[in-house]
Amino acid sequence: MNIFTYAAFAYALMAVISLAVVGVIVLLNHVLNKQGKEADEND
Amino acid sequence: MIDFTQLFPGIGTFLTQDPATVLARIGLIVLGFILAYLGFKGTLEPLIMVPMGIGMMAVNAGMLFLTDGSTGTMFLDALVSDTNGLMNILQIDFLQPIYTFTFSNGLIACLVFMGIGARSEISFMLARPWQSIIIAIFAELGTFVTLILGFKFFGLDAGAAAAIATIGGADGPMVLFTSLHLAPHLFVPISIIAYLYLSLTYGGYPYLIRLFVPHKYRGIDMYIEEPEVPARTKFIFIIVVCTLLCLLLPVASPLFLSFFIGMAVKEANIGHYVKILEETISYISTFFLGLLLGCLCDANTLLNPVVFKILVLGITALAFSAIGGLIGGWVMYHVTKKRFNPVVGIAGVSCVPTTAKLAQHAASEEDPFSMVLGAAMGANISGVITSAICAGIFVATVSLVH
Amino acid sequence: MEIKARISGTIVQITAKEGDAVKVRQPLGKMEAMKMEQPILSNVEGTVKSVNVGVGDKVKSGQVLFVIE
Repeated sequence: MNIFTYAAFAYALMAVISLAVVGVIVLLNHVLNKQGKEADEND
Repeated sequence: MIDFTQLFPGIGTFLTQDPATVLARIGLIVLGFILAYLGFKGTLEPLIMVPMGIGMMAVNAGMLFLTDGSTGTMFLDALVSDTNGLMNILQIDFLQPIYTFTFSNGLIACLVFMGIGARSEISFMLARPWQSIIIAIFAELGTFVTLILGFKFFGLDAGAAAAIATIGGADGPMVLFTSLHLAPHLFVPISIIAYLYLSLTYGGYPYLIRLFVPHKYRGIDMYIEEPEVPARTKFIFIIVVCTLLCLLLPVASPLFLSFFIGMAVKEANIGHYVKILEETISYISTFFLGLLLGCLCDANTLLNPVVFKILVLGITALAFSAIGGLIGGWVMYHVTKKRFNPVVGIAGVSCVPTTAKLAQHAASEEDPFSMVLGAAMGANISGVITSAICAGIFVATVSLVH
Repeated sequence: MEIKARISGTIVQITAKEGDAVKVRQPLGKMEAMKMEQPILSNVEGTVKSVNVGVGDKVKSGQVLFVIE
């Protein structure tokens, strides 16, 4: 791969993985908060 | 007649070494003095600069004639690699064991990183996760610009270019780690220059902020209500994200593990562990890191023309990362319809918490009411994550370049 | 008007007392977050009705520090 292509590829990959990580965090946050609320309601 | 060169070998060696080495030794002694003194005054980060500066002075002064006639020191030898030679020198040079067992295998970088993790509050990122990560992604601009410059215009091989480029991620342990994997023959100068520059960022960055963000935009208030996230939730996603990143980029898993274990221990409120990681291990590692870096700065190691390239590329990386971050800040400003302070962009360059505080300073100067520290810390921590991901990607894939 | 903490941190100084007259942007005290000192400013004009925290208190973002009327 030439360096420009690689740089673009690596940058894109880094962005995608970073956004995915945040996506997982936000998703987990939703799920865990809902669970937390349900547990509170059941108490 | 007494041979005076043998009596005081530190001085005697000056007479047998070539002029370049002699000048370099003297220059490094002076540089060591300057760094240690600036560390003392607080202009540069004292935790690293005081041991590093003093070590630098001592190692360049304390040269002697070794048994085989060459000159060297009693501190450490970074170049010994055969097992017998290594076992030998482990028993002679006082810093060698620390070097061989914590530095050249990246352990010390990971220990420092554990300390950083233990001090990072993930809630800041949770308040505005998407904004934070986007700023952090923009702030990696310097890394990639430098990668291209290093390879294309400075004639470095891809590994070395990538290792130097990670300076743009503004995370010491990351740079150490990448250099060890991708450019082991250069990791000494790269690490020293990286740490030096990272100490200096708070010198130049305020000017970059002023250059890119006009007065009236600097004071925008960004008060964010910190979300009440229960520790249970934070703990779960810290360990899940850690595992996920290790799955994707196993070559950087020591780094991910270190960072997230620090954070996890903090959320689990294991007071004793938090204390050891945040304080004891953190300070011991930082101390020895500074000391080792200084003692690795002997004239022989640094008299390498590559050093000049690293100096230039390093500053380029940090400059472009700041610019990238500020561009990100502007993008967010427009996307949120003027409710984002562009200054926060600089906090995407993950020198935690230095750059976040710089952003706050810039905002407070303009309007003391303005509170951007929360948003800035969110960007800071996201920056650490993106830098780690970058390091992992480089180590795993840089061989694709030819 | 409730003056709330704008970030979690520790109160390091309180300069306003109950009954003091304050103007907009007048400092009421200082707090420290991430080892950075931040002034606590009033965003209204009025009189200090109550001081709800003391020096050394750890406060959370959003916590009421002063009440001005």
